Amino acid sequence: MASFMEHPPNRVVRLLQLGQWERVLAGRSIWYCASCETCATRCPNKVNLAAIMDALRKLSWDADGPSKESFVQLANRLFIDNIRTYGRQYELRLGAVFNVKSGQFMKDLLLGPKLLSRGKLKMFHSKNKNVGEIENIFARIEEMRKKGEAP
Amino acid sequence: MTASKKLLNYAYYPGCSLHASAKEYDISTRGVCKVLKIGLEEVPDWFCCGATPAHNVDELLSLSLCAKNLSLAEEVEGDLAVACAACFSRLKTTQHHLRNNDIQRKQVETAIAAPAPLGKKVKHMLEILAKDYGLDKLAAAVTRPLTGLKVACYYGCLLTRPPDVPNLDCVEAPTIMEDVLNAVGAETVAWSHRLECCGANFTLSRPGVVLQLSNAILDSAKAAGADCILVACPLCHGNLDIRQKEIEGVYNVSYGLPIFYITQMVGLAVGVPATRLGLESMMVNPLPLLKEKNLL
Repeated sequence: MASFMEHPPNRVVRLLQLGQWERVLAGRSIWYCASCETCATRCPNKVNLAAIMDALRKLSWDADGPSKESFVQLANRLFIDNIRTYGRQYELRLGAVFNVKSGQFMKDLLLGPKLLSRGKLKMFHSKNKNVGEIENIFARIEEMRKKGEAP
Repeated sequence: MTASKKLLNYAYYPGCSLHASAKEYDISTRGVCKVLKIGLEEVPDWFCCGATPAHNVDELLSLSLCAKNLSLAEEVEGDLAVACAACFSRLKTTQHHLRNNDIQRKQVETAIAAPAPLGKKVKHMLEILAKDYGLDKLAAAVTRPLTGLKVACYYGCLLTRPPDVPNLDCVEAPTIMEDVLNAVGAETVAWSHRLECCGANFTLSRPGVVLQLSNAILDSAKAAGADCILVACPLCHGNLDIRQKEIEGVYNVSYGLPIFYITQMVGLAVGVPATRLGLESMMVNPLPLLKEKNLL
């Protein structure tokens, strides 16, 4: 994934050490990390960059950050919204809403029917019976954050 | 009852993909377990584990979703069997974090309004086949050895990572997939890209990333002389199988490499009927290869 980043992983760490975290947050790098954990596995200094990337993304996310990479953020947002609404992923909705909201109406349009005919995409999603419990978890986390009890 | 005759029973967490885009993984997992007499009982009303998007931007949400699922899993006896590499990694990581971080554990317990259950052992299907069931017993259960089939075992990222979480095999040189495949008679090839990232969930947001990374994986497997690739993750499968035709077009190459789930291949060897392996829903048709090798 490093080849897609304007600041590769080692430079991200160096920029943070130099206090230039705004440059990191404003860039694409944090959103072009797939959480493959290769960096954390192989770093000779045992820098857990995968965890640092998570923390940076949360900072940017909370601040509705000035990132250059909106598609990845949009995909994350829709994925989490699906969990809150359905309790589970609803892949057809995920793909369809992403296309509409990202303005790429033709994206993977030919793939859809092939996946549907193989049963790999489902037209309708069976809602989890206890989806209310998931809403409670989201609500309690929001409550904790309002009170300053959780990051 | 002697230890060797002890029945294996597990709580089973399929995860979202196995109920949709990776349904052949679910079908074949159930098929293999039925033939090997491994009991699977699905966790009632399980939720999404949050996967990568949740921990990417909201660690507390990710930990809480996994803790909720671990708590639901307590209702079913036995260790927790997981087939999806991402669900497996998230559930194991959550247990590890909550055991080692009291502050986070308390936040999660407030979020799920229950004590965080950390006692359940989370096991990947590979681990269940190789260790709990056992390679010798697996080899003895083979009715149709996969002789002559050259397989590239692809681990991807999440089967063995993160590195600080005790996991199912060595992070840099795992062999558990090869061990299982050799036990059922297949030949495994040595190749370079077994631990490289396929692009994962960028398939939705930035498919160009997936095309480039997955092309390198397919190219490496082909160059090593593999007939097919073996995976244990729905996202790896989606990227290598569903996007393979597109990759061939973009890079002007021809691979024709069927992508099998571990349970499809083991199922083929231990006598699960071919109709119960979900072979028909794969995008790269595996039937010509299987017929050529007399495996159908």
